[in-house]
Amino acid sequence: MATTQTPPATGSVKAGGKHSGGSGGGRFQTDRAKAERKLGLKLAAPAAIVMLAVTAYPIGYALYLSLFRYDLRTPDQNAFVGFDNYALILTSSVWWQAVLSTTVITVVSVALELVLGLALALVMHRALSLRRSVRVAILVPYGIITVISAYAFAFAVAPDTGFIGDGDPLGSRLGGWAVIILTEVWKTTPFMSLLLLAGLASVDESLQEAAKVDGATATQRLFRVTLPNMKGAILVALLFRALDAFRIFDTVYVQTAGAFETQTISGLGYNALITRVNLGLGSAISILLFLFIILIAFIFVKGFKTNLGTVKGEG
Amino acid sequence: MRRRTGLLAAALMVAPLAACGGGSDDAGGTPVVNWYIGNEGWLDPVIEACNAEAGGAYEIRAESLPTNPDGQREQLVRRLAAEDDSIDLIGMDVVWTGEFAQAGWISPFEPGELTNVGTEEQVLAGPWASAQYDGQQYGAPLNSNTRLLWYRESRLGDRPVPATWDELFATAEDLGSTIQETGARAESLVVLFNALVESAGTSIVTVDDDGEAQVALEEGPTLKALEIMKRLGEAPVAPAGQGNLGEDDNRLAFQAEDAASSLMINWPFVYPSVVEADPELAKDYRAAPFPAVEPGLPARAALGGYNLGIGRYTQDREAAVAAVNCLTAPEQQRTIATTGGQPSVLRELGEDPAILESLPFLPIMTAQLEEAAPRPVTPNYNDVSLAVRTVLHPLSDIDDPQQTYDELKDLLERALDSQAVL
Repeated sequence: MATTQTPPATGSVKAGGKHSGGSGGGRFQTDRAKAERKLGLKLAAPAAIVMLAVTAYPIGYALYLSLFRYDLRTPDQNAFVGFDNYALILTSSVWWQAVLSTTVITVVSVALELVLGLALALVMHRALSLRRSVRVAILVPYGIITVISAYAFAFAVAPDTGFIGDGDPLGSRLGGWAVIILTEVWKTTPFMSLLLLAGLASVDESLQEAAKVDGATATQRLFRVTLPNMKGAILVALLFRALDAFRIFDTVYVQTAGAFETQTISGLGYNALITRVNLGLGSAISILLFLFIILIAFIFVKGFKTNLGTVKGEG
Repeated sequence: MRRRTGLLAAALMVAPLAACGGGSDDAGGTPVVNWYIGNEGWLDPVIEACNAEAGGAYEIRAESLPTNPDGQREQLVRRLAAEDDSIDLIGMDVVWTGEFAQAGWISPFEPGELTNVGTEEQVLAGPWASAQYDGQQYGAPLNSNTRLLWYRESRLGDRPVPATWDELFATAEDLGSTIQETGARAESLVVLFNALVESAGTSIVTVDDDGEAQVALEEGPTLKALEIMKRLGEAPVAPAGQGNLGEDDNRLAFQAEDAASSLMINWPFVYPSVVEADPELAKDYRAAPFPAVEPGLPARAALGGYNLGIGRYTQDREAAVAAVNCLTAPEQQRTIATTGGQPSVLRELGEDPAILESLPFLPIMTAQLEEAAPRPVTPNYNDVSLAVRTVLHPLSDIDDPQQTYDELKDLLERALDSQAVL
């Protein structure tokens, strides 16, 4: 369109076309982008306002509470204490143990999920027959409520009802960790594979063909062509799962209740807020967990140096 | 127009809420006493008896809570903190009394208000102590419980029944038997630790003259208690998977035909259970008092059971107190003991023939309940309990009792002021 605006008579068609096509097209896109951005903001505003109301308010209130000694059991002692709750938490060995445990559970389970999830995504992507059945079968665990899958695995390893392992794995340190991570991996790998499947589908088939013609093996095509081209999808999958895994609560609560150093940050928050009704201390734990989550998101987005837009095919 | 529909909508939303709240007289003029309590087998007969006896003066309605005490407490605490006025009567685990009293969620009983459980003479010493806080009676003891040493008579043979922990360990090794004692990271671990500490001659928490709670745990006696816990976690007496064993796991393990264990510390519910499952095996079950830490020092066993509390925000305190007086009467106590397998709190029923029939070990329990050690009566009991669980679990990790002692004391001191991350 831009090129047609340039009359062929003035100067060479090639040069003029190139020139006006560049600048004219650029201006045109800027206008369009501006309008789109405006429309986008308008369309997103209601959702953003609702989100702010239901998330920003509780977060702000938690931040406020975290600056008080606020214990429902001893109401006469409630008072403003500044950052005392934070100091208390950050000097506690129980807290750092929970940070370590949560990190270990997150890293190990997300790493396993990435490998398994990618394998399952390839199966779903390449399945020639029974495509729908394969996808449904793989996604079933993700449809099961976490508490139920946690109980299912707890019963599966229990000495009286169980059929996995000898004795009582949940009665030992290594066993407790293994069962928790196994449950997490079983439950959330489908989510990971679904996100990766979307990434796989976005890789251009012609690239695969070209690599094949050049004589690349299947492994080479996977690592040199497929994976680099779905970097964005992998980032999104890892980010979503890491944020989720870091807030792990149900599985640990059901299976070990925090025994054998498996207590997580969410578990400490639950103990403080729900069991001990110490709202000040509990809110401070929640705020710190929130900060950790932001940190993880920041590291992922900066560390991968990937434009999240690539996932949408705009990059 | 818009405003009117808004009002209508608001009214529609409020109407059902109003119906749920209050709830003091929607049974045709009869005041309703809402009783929040765990789902116990003896609830229905006891409530029916009292409602019949009241003859319209009040009607008790059970609001069933989860079976697990931690779950019961969480639901109650949330409602009480929100000043729920539909809670008239509360079935409190003995350890909650101090917490609920300090928080102002229950109101104390006036002297003379309670006809059956209002004086020290009427109630066994252990349950009595658990119902007092800050010089006032906040709980009406309803039933009691204590843990005993259980053994298989045929396997023990002519060996003497162990009376101390040293003897118990020696007998276990001689028999090649494990000692089935709970090791899970749960309240049962605190029950064990408290009983051992009290039997050794000290307490977890003491209250000074100003009413300030402080961590006591004298070093010498506490180390003795920790030494016993360490030995419980070691071979050959530690059962497999001890770190996840609860009371019911132990009951099942002990009840198995080829049980690897001939010795168990547990609540008396194990007896009605074996009578039902295997009456022949039940004849081989014997109970002995909870072992002493040292010969000469009295064993102070665990204390369990319910105290009844009156909700602070109740709209009909009078009806609730009348209900308490009926529920704690000897007839109801007898029903609870015979159907629930838990001893009464009343001195006068200490050797009651009807109860004795279903609980043959009643005299041992009654004697033990006179000496029993309540767990710390403090508003921050839950913090204390979590701190003990955090440090002492699993038993097999206690290497150096001195180091465990230092760690525990440090964490408990912060926990007692609600200033610990747990």
